[in-house]
Amino acid sequence: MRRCRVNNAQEQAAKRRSLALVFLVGLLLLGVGAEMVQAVEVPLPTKEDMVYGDFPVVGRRVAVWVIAQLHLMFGAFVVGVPLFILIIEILGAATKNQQYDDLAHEFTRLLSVAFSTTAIFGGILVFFLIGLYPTFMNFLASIFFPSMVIYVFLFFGESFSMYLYYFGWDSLKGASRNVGAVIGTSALSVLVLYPGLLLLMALPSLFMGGGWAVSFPVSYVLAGVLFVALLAHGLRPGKSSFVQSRKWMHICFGILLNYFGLILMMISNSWATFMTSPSGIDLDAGVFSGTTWDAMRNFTWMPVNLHRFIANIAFGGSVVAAYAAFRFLAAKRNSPERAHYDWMGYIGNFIALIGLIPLPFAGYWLGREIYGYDQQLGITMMGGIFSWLFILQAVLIGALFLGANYYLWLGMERIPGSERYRKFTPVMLGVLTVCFLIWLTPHSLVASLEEARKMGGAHHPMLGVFGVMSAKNTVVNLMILTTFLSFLLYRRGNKGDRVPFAEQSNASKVTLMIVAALGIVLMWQLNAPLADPALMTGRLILWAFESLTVVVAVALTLNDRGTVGQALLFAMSAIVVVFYGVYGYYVEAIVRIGFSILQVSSVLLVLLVATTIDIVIFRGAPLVGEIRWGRIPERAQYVLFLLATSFTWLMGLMGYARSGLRTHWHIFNVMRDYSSDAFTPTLGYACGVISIIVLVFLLLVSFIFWLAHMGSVGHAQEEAVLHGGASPALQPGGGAD
Amino acid sequence: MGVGLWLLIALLAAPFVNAQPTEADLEAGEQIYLKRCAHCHGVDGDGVGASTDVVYPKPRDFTSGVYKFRTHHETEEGNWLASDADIARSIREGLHGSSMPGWETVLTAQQIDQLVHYIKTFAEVFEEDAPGTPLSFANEIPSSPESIAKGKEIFETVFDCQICHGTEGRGNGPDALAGLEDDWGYPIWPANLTKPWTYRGGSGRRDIFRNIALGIAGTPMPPFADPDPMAEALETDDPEEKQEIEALARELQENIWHTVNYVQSLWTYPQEPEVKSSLTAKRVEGALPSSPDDAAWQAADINYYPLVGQVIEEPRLFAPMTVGVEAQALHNGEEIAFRLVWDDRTESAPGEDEEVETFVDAVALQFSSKPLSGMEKPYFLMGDASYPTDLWYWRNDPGSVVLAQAQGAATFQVGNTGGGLVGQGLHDNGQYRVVIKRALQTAQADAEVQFPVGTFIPFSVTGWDGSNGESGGYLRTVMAWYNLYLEPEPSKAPIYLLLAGIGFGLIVEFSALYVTRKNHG
Amino acid sequence: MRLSIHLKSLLTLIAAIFVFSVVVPYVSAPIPGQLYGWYVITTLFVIYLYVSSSEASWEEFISPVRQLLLARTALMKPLRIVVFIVVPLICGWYFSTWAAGGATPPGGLRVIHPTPPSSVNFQGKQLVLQDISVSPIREDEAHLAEHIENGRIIYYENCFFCHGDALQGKGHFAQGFNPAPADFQASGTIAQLSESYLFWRIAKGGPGLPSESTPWDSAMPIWEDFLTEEEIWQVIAYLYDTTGHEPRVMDHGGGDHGGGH
Repeated sequence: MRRCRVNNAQEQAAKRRSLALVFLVGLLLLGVGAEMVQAVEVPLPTKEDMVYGDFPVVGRRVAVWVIAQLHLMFGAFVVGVPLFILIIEILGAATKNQQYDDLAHEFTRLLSVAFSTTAIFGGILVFFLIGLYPTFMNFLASIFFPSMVIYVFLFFGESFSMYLYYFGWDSLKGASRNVGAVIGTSALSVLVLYPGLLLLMALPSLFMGGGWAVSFPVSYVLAGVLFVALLAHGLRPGKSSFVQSRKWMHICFGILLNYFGLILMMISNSWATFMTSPSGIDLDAGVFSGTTWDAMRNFTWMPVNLHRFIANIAFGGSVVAAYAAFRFLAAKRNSPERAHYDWMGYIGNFIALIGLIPLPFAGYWLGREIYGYDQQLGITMMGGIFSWLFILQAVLIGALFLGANYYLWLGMERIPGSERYRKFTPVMLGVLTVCFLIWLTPHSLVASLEEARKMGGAHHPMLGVFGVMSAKNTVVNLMILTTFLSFLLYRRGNKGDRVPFAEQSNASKVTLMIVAALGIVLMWQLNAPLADPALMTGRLILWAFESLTVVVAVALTLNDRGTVGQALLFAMSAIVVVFYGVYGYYVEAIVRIGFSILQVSSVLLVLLVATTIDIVIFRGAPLVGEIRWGRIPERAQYVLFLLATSFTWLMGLMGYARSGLRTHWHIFNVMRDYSSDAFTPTLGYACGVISIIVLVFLLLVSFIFWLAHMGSVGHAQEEAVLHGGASPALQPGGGAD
Repeated sequence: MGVGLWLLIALLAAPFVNAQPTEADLEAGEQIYLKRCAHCHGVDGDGVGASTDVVYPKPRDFTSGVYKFRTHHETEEGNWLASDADIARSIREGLHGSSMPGWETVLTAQQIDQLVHYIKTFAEVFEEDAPGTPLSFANEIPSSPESIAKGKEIFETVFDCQICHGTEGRGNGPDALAGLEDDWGYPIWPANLTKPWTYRGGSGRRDIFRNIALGIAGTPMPPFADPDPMAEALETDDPEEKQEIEALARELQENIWHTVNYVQSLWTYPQEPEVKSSLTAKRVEGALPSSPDDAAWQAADINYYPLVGQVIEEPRLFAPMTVGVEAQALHNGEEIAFRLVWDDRTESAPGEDEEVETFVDAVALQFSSKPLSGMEKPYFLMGDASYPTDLWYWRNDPGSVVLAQAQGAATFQVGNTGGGLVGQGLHDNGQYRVVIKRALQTAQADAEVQFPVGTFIPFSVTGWDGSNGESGGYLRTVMAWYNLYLEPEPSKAPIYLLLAGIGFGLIVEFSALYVTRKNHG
Repeated sequence: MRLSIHLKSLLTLIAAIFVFSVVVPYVSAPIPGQLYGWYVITTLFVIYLYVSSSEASWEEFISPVRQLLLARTALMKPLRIVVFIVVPLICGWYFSTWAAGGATPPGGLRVIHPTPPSSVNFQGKQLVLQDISVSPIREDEAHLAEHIENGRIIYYENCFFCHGDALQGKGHFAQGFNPAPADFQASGTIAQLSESYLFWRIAKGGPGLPSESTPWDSAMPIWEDFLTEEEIWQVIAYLYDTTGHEPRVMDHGGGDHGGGH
């Protein structure tokens, strides 16, 4: 206890210093920010200007490739894991479950080492780039210098908020009515809520005009009002307020940390995306003319930001799950430690899946924007040499889906009562298998000459049909549906007889109605508004079909036949997905692209309504038995390894695809690569390099985990965590409820 | 029972088969004709369309009403008329080895019927006359050595087929070499009977029977059983005479079936062989054969490759006469020998024909001059400046095999450099057989092809039929790159791998044993 | 009747192999070896997932193996010896025949739709392909039918030797070339491409391909040596008209079409 107090005092002092620094950094940033909107003219270097350095043995390209990819992976780790921690901490605070809080805390220990590793790789990368590609870096720096300065200063913000978050974990608990604390918390709250405010203000300007010029000032005023309101709320005498909550203050630090991480990611993304889709270049005059901000706002910037953000959630979750799997396997059978790590693996996997499901759609958007920016880039990516990477990606993603389902099925071992749902396993596996086989069938096949002659070309007359977008969209949607079904069955594994619906609370019933109505409105928004009257009838029929199914499903739920309603919803979505998949072959490409949205939206509708029905109908159902954490077969843990390895490998492959797309250009169509590396390496070679990178990364991450583990040995907290884990009172499905 | 059923079907089907086409059918047929046929056969059906000048055989002139393939005897008016079903079959399956494709993948049966009705309107004869009695395929004789021997006799003495088709059936008989013309005055060659996939009307036994019995209308191929040998039998009342006629007709039928059996025995392959991506040069001990007819070649693998006209660079060869080449290779660790065999009806001699410029027949093996890395190869048409090709050029001029190096077709020049090549070849009864040999390695390792064993070396063959006006870098038959593989010395790897496999199996088994014993033992 | 899990697995495997190696080749064409391998491996993997997806079925599946390994009965002991001898021999046989099967010819990884350049020099004139979203002759709608008719004649004077009357890549010279001429009727060729892409491929032919598409093998002539710019557009229009495919139109700017975004 006494030691704790000393720590607290030190932390307080550290915090004050940190806050002062953050303030100072803010001032500096404002100055540099002004610089960003200053237009510059930078001439393009000519062939004669280009200078390259040499790197021994592996050559300059591989040197930069390896370091950049490692930096990116650690960057993803440093952005992804805090996001994971924050989600878990908020869950813990919301459900008042200490176990979540401990889990989150356990992972903050990783951050400082991971953070410094990222910085080390970043540093090496900068030196390598300057040494090996000096002319090119000079050109980039002349355009992006202000953003680079901001980047460096944001690093301070990131590290200090990280230390605040980490060291403040134990002390920032309970409530404080201290005026200073309330002011601080209010200010912090305004800071973390400000982006939301700004977005809110941007909405009216969409309709009324004015743009950001209006939104910004209004948002400042609103932020001020919010601050005063929060302050008043917190200082009301004798009343408690969330502003007084020190935990909330701590969560604010967590949000701040994630903001810093995200902005850092976005700034560095802008440099990379500028190389792929440069803006502001006047090729005739041979200059870049514009502001730093113009260069940052290039065509693929936002899609890459979104794609990476979602991928980081999945990545963070999968790394956590793999760590848990490792500890699970190392722990003794039937020990409380095993139970804890089983649970941790489950949560990690769950978060990873949440990220995985929207990821293909974000990737699809990015792909579209790349096509939109330049058809040539698009074809290089999807039709040219890089298309083989996407086939590899398909195989890995298919394996991920299979693995995730398998993990859920094995997880049923720990749930008494789940035997009742075992009979669905072969069916779901069958659907997944057929989908997987279609999913991995490439459009043009690798075939020997004899085989190609029998097929009459590189396309198989029958299987070639599975190679195009329509088939892929169809099966990926079916795989998502099946995975969702697996999850629903897992979730109801230990639920006994349902309470009659009439006895459910009114709130449940109202929620169900609202969600159903929302779903129907959403479908109208996604399906109906279309300028082309030729397509209108079909869309209306679709909308009516979907809405009718939702209404019938809700009606069935009201009559205690909720599971039948869910089955109807699944059937509806499967029909819509398959129908548009087949119909897609009979229409032109531009219409077909629209179909993918119809397919996805029907799946989303089912996800939304069926989940709600599930929650409502199983509310208050008696349990067949408690979940026996730790009872999952050991082979399930290897799925978690597979998940993490696949994710990392995919990041490497896709990172290579994104960068390699430029082929022999430093900056696409603008600055040619005149070095001896200006060629696209063979697929096998690239995969070899990527695999080595993945291996190095996994080894380093294991080392970091080991360090963190070593640091925690003997720490009293470890004990507490384990005791928490020994008496799990968690529902299956964890955070989803 | 079976006959009754067929009769029933025939009766039921009869009204549909002979149904008069409606206006709508003809209209539909015309639309299909204009979309699918007119560019070769001409808008007016006269066989003059966009592609007429560049195809051999020429597109059919429908205004004549003459169709090559029919299954009905001469009519009483002396017309050779194809039935609707005959024409429909030609449309459906196409004419093999010509530019006429089979349309069954594109048109429905109904569309083909409409088309038949429409194209018949080009010739008045179809309005005036109807097909004669159907050809009978009775008295079929299954193939046997005796029947084939009988067929050979009939082929050579009774029907006198070899006068056009040659004694080995390669279409090189004396009449053929003298020059044949079809009814429209276009030069025409008798079929090479050894390659059944080039039989225009199909290579089924009944197809061959039909062609012998009824001939091929519009071509020099005569009928041997037309008019219907049974026709007289129907007219006479004398039972003895009738029997006699029937016996003669039966003998004729049997003779034709014997000939069919003989023709089938001439086939080198029953259908066009599948192309294999690599030609393996087997490793042999001792000297390699230098003569094309050496028995040592029987041990070597034979790969067949189709040859097609060079239609890629101007001037183009649209109507090649050579359809394919057989290639073999052997090596002994020091030398490599190739044997090339292809059919050419004529042994061309320059200046033999006053109308067409004639050149000497030739063949060449093509390789990359430079060693290759990765998947890059020279352009398959004699390479380019950065990837030149070696051409081992043999021409029908005793002892002349030379190395020609080209950087694209324009630079192809036959000089006098030997390049260490030795060759021997002959033209024998419509077929060329050529052997070319060289050492595996030469002194100029970077500028001439080398043959390391155990690797895949791109090669291809190109040919010149001099009497078809083929010579130089452009007018020639070509094929794609294929791989040549020189069999290495027997390796010990399989033994090591066998041991490794056994070891692997043992490790797996004993670890399973260990784990199981530990957990359950 | 309840089938044992071993029998179920075996039947599933046999059924799958039957479909891959008999049904599909019978219905259309044999599956290339590599893809076939993927299919079979996936099937095996899925069968493993199936038998191990619950402790009960895994126990049922593995217990005979375990009994064999522990060999507690008189019957099992000799059986184990036999298995322990036979399995390594099978492994050894497989390894050595796999090596003897030996050398496979190179090739296969050919890119079918390679990346077009952003602009081409056509007979000395610079054409920016990216700016040509539809064929220029389509702007002259009144004469489109004439253009298509002209394209038909050009096709039959030049293209049909390889690409065939039926536009299926089965012309009478097709068998001589490798890769085979494109099948325009198939859903994977011109149906996926824009007209400017076709223009590039026709104008520049095989030698104009990037190296990942093995330009040295392609028999496609360089048509700019034979045809005018207008003639190429005409023959493209003919191809789309006759096959009934629609040329792909690239949507610039992203999000303008398809709704939802």
